[in-house]
Amino acid sequence: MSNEPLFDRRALLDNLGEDVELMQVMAQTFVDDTPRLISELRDALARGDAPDAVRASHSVKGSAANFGAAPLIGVVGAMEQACRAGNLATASGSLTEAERLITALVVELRQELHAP
Amino acid sequence: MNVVIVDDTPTNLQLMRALVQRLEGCQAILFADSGSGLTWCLEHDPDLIIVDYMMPNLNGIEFIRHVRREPRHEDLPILMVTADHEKSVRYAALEEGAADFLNKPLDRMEFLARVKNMLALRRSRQALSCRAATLAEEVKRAVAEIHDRERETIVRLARAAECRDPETGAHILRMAHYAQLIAARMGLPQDFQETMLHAAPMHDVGKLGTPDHILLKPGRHTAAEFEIMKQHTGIGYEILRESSSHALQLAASIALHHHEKFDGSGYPHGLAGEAIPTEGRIAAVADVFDALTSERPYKKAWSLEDASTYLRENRGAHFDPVCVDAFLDMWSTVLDIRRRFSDG
Repeated sequence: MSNEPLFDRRALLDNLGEDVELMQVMAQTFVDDTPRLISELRDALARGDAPDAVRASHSVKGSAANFGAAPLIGVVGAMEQACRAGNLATASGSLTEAERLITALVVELRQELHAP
Repeated sequence: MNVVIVDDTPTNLQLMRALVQRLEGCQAILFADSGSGLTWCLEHDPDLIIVDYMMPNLNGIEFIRHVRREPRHEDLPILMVTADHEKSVRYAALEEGAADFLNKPLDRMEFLARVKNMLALRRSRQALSCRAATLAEEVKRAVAEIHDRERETIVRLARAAECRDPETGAHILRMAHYAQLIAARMGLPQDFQETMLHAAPMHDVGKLGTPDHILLKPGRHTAAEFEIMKQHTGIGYEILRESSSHALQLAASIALHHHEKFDGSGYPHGLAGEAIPTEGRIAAVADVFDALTSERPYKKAWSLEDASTYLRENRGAHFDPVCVDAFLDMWSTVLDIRRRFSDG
């Protein structure tokens, strides 16, 4: 895998007007909720429920976008497109990669929570 | 102020909450589910709604459409959260009544600026509608005062006429109530019925201009005297006409027409049928019935039965049949009015 950063801390703080406290609120929310979102996406794909899969991937993408998490946006964005096209098999193929990226991002964001 | 935020993406929801709560006097009310958000908005009075577009169940556009259907929320500012490229979504949202957009991913400066603008808009709209309501209330009060004064003027004018008239004040009140009753039974508009009640008492105001030796003459009038007597209709009309008051305009017409007869044999103009204004035809029935059933220096009071028979016999001759029927239909109310305003 590349060395591309998991999220764009600079852009995030820019968007938040250098407000570290706000960044921590968002990091905490991501850590708390994104695993649930990705499991909803996994369930929807397993059920073959395309509309639900579109919404769940869109929602993960939205969360990722808040952090400028380019690698994750790339993967789940493509999954969303595939689901919209009814191509659930293609989307399912990227599921493991999406989960890996989310786990890694959660680890990184946890560190932000302990930042001064 | 209450800011409702509806977004199914938790990070967005929490970020927006944190931002809204930094604004003075604002609290955020969060909904991850658009359906429960809508229910809350329809039952409460939010000051601003921020709604995401893509949500399960009800999307942002459908959400706005439902909110706008509530008449109270016609002016409520709504911001929609969308990505830049979703142009068709933005157009649809504008069509449904979104006031502005927030770009995804959310930017603190943009978010706070737009939210502040929307809340300022909300405050000025509220101040404006509050002021409009106060003004409307004041105008209503002022108009009511004018109406009261107008009525008082009418009552005093009628009282002046009574001073010269052998007919009693009770006759005038009965006649006015009969006139109102007939108008009501005929299904005429509510405000016309009311105005009849206030205008009818002046039907004989023109007798102010009738010389005493004729007006107060105990015996029968000569033909020449009767011609002068008849002039009270035109004199009353001249006194009351060209007023800007509806009640006085109606009173002028009643004064002029209350001696016209349905078959054209009345005075002053010998008008017939519908050419006699409605108020004149109504006043004729009310006035004659009460004159017949009242005692006068030159005659005894007729019995109620004789008087109603007279109305029936002259139905279509002296009187408009519709007015006679309306009056006789309400017989028990007629008796009530007689009891309420007896000569005592």
